[in-house]
Order: sequence, then structure tokens, then C-alpha cells
Amino acid sequence: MIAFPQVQKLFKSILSAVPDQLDCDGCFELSAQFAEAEIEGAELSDLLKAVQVHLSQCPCCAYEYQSLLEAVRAADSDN
Amino acid sequence: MQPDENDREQAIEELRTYLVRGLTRSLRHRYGGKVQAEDIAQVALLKILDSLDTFQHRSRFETWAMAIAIRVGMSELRKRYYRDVSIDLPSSGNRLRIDVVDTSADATKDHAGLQSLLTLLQRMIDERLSSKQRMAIRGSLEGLPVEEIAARMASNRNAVYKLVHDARLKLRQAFEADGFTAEDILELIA
Repeated sequence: MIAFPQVQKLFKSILSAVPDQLDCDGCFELSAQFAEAEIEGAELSDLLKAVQVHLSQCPCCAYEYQSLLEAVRAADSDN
Repeated sequence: MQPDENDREQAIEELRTYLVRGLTRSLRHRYGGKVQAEDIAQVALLKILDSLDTFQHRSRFETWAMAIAIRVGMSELRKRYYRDVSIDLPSSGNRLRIDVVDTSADATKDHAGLQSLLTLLQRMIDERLSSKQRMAIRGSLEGLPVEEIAARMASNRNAVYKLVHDARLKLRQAFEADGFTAEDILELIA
């Protein structure tokens, strides 16, 4: 049984669905490069834009990526 | 110990320290944070050393290594966090049934419009999604990460992500083909 709050969540995920060139492993392979681009404020190549799309579609990868970003910032700032 | 070996040991120790610093800060508030950064760093180091030939110099080595360590740590945290979470995914062939909504108390709602939208969603789920897609969607609606859904479906993360994502795209296209715009839907489910 899907309760109404879950139905709302499902509709929102349906409406935000866009084609995604990457799977989770593909996103992971580019995540270090993407994190550095974000930290440096660099312009994204088409390849890194694909990472951005995947992160917008996959909450699991997005959460993992946020952890990576925080870890790199912390490790670098304590150097 | 030879000089080269000394250098290697020192480089590994520096990397370990770097990973522990990042992991300590980042993992402590994720999924309950019940892992030791030192333990994760140790497991990650083995994986990093095993994967050195896959490093493509697209980023700094430290960032690449941290990405591996974070994946190891998050995977372990998820496993522990969801170990005791019991969620029944619909078994193969079972329907994913939408609860009937009682909107009668809310005079501002378009009851008929909402019910017909939900009936259509139910029909689309039944007719257009595979049983595996229904299982994966159910897990996703329960808030399970794809990796956890994959473990429960004896599948893998990439495959489950594709199931969920293809299902969402398919449903979106079906609603568009039926003449529903995003605005129509958002208004009805508000």
C-alpha cells in the first residue's frame, strides 16, 4: 500500500525525472574530479555536467557525494 | 627496510592520516555515524592500493583516494543503519497498491480530479512497470538507498538505479501522453 505522502513523493520524483547518461559507478568514477571542480568553482565540462544530472536523480549518490565534499574540505583545511 | 620501501611506508602513513581526518569529520553525522574512521581508513587503504592502476590522474590522488574511502565508509554505515529496518518489498507479481485518499474534509481540493489522477497512476504502475520496477520503486518510496534495495533484491546498485530511473521516466512520459502537465499534477497533489 502506498500512502498519500508517498504518492506525493512519487509524483515529485516522476516530474523531476530527466534522461541520465551515467549509472552510480560511472558517477563515482568522476566524483573526485567533480568535487575538485566544485571546490575550485571551475566551469563544468559536458562530462561533469553528466555527473550533476546523475546527482540530481540519485539521492544515494548525492548523499555520498556530499560526504566526499565535506571530507575533502576537512582534510585539506587541517593540512 | 630499503630506502624505497621507507618512502612507500611513509606515503601510506600520510595518506592514512589524510583519510582519517576527512572521514572523522564527514561520517560522524551520516546514518548514525557508528563507525571508526581509523577502521574505515584501514579497509579503504587496502582497496586503494589494489586499485592504483585505475587512477587516471583526472583529480588529485588524495581526492580520488578519499572518494574510495567515503564509498567504503558510507556502504558500511548504510549496512549497519538498515540492518534492523524491516520493509516488505512487494514480491514478484504483487501489485503496488495506492491507498485511497479521503479528501472529503478539504473543501479546497478537487476530489474528482485527484481520484482520477490516482486511478491513472495505479493503472500505469500495474500496466507499464515490471515487477522488479515495482519492488525497486517501493523500496525507494520507503526511503531505502539504492544500495540497500539492491541487497534486498539480490541485485546491484547500478541495476536498481536503472530500474527506478527508467520507471520514473516511463511514468512521466505516460502522464504527458495522457495530457497531464507538471502544473496540473502538482496542483492536484498539493
